[in-house]
Amino acid sequence: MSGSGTGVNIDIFHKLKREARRCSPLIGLAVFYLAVTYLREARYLKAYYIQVLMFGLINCMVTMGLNLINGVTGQFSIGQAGFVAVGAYSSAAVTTLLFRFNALPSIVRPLVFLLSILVAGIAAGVFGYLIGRPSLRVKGDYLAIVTLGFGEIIRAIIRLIPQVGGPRGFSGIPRYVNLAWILIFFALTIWFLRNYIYSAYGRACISCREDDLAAETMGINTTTYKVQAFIIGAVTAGVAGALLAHLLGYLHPDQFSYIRSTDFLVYLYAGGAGTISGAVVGAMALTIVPEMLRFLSGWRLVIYGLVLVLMMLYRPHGISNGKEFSFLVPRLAPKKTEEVQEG
Amino acid sequence: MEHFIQLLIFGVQLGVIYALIAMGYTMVYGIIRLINFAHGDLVMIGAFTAYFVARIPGFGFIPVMVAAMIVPAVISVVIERLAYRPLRNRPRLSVLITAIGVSIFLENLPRMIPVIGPNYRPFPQLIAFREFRLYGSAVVNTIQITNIAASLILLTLLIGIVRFTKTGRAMRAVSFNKEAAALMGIDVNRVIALTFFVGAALAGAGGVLYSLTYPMIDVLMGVWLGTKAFVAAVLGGIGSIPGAVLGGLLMGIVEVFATAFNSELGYGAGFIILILVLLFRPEGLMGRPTIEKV
Repeated sequence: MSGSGTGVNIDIFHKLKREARRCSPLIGLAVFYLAVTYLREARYLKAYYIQVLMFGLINCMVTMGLNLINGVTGQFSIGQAGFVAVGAYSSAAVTTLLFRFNALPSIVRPLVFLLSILVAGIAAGVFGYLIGRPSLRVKGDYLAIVTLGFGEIIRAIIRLIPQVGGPRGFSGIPRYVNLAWILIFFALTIWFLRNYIYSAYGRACISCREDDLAAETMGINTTTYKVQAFIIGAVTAGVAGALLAHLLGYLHPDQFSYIRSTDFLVYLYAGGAGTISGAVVGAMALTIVPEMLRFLSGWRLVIYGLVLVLMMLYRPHGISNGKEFSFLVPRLAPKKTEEVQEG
Repeated sequence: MEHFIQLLIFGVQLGVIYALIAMGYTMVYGIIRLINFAHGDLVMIGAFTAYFVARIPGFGFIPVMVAAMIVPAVISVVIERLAYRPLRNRPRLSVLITAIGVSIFLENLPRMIPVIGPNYRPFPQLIAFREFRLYGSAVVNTIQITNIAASLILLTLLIGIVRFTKTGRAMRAVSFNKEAAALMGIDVNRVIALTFFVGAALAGAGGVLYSLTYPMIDVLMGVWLGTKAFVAAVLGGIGSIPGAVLGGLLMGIVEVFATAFNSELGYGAGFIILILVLLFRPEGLMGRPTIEKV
């Protein structure tokens, strides 16, 4: 009788530990937000730093999406900036052209903004599907080129649409986004991608990366998973684009050139491809470090290039070295509690 | 009709330059399966070498051209030795990222060197400008003739080397099967270095010819030129030398015609064709399809 009593205690203890692990990233983000807000109020942090932080978080989101396509599913996409462009422009079109955002009562604004993010996600997802589809026909380097081409075509199309400013750029977008919005979507992205990658779907995606043919022999419809990865990656980038548009207040097609796409690629591989932590750390580090090196002016890009080469030569698995940081992506132990109950 | 011929001349003039640059992409890809992102920047280095060498009195078109071919070629060999060779047996993606790093480095280092700097510079006129009436109002000028003639000579030379010399045979052998080539006594490292040398020399020449036509050069000129040439290489079938020529010409002509139709369209037109080709013939126009072996 007394044995069952301790069993219940262990049970509760495990449950609590598990829950704490599960929630640790959320608690961490909340604490982070409060700390940043406090420091800003106390004038320790300049608005500029927070701006950099927000760009960093947006870059993280895009890179996490790219990680699903490149790192997890093993496809090679170098057109991620195109998806960001689709998201940014479509959401900006919703808030600026469809609704006159600044004329709306402030209660409706979050709803309209969420709607615009939804539109951005859907639009980017559609493009992700369009680009993911050909990946059935082309592989490897050729796929890379197709994605590059699609990214550039998206940019060329934007230039042809006068309603969104064409080659002059799209101005007058409400600057509605703040740190809280970005953190919410950042958390949602991590949560969703973490659960996706650790699910059966994610395993299937990894099997596509490891060996296409073997995966197919095991009865995995590789096509479905590749397209799925492209769509999810694109939606993530699209949502990040929507946030970016409402952070900057101005968009220009040249912001989304293939040079920008290679930036995301570099974030991912410098951080460590295949892991969410790698994507986050890489994007964050490579957004903040160049800002810190601003006093070096142009030399920082020289150093950036050099560091990238040296990194690939001497630390090929990136900063995270192929491991997940458990504070970002909790590794949940198998449900011990249930075993105890059964026993 | 006159308009058509005039546009065709512009297209071919641009196309041969794309073909020259595409050649480097296709050769490097053919031999070590690497998309050399830094290749476009070698075009820029060629153009800047020409810019400085042309200031030396007594240096005409040909010495300038030779210098502009040798400098990027040597730089390219150094890059291959330091950055790519140590990674040869690693996953191809890491080499690709390295290439991006090299490209960022090559674009930004000259920006910081005071004598080069980030500004646009007027390219010297190396060829006396004259126009010849061709058909109706269609004209052809000396620069266009030089471009086309020089490119054709260089391309023929290259194809000759690859087809008929011992070195060329070694190149083809290495691109076919590196291990077997090494067993046959071919110095694989030397052949790869040579490939980088030749490809970069052509890129340098392409840089000079392009700058003759559009006489404003800056450190970022190689980025778009490189990307378009790369697309041309893929269009023709990357790894295939005649394919690079065909792809380059096609790309140049399409771009000129599309730009004449709508100035914003010219930019995306090449990519649209590229994607259509890749969707229906993924190996490019003249590439050989790869068979997946189990």
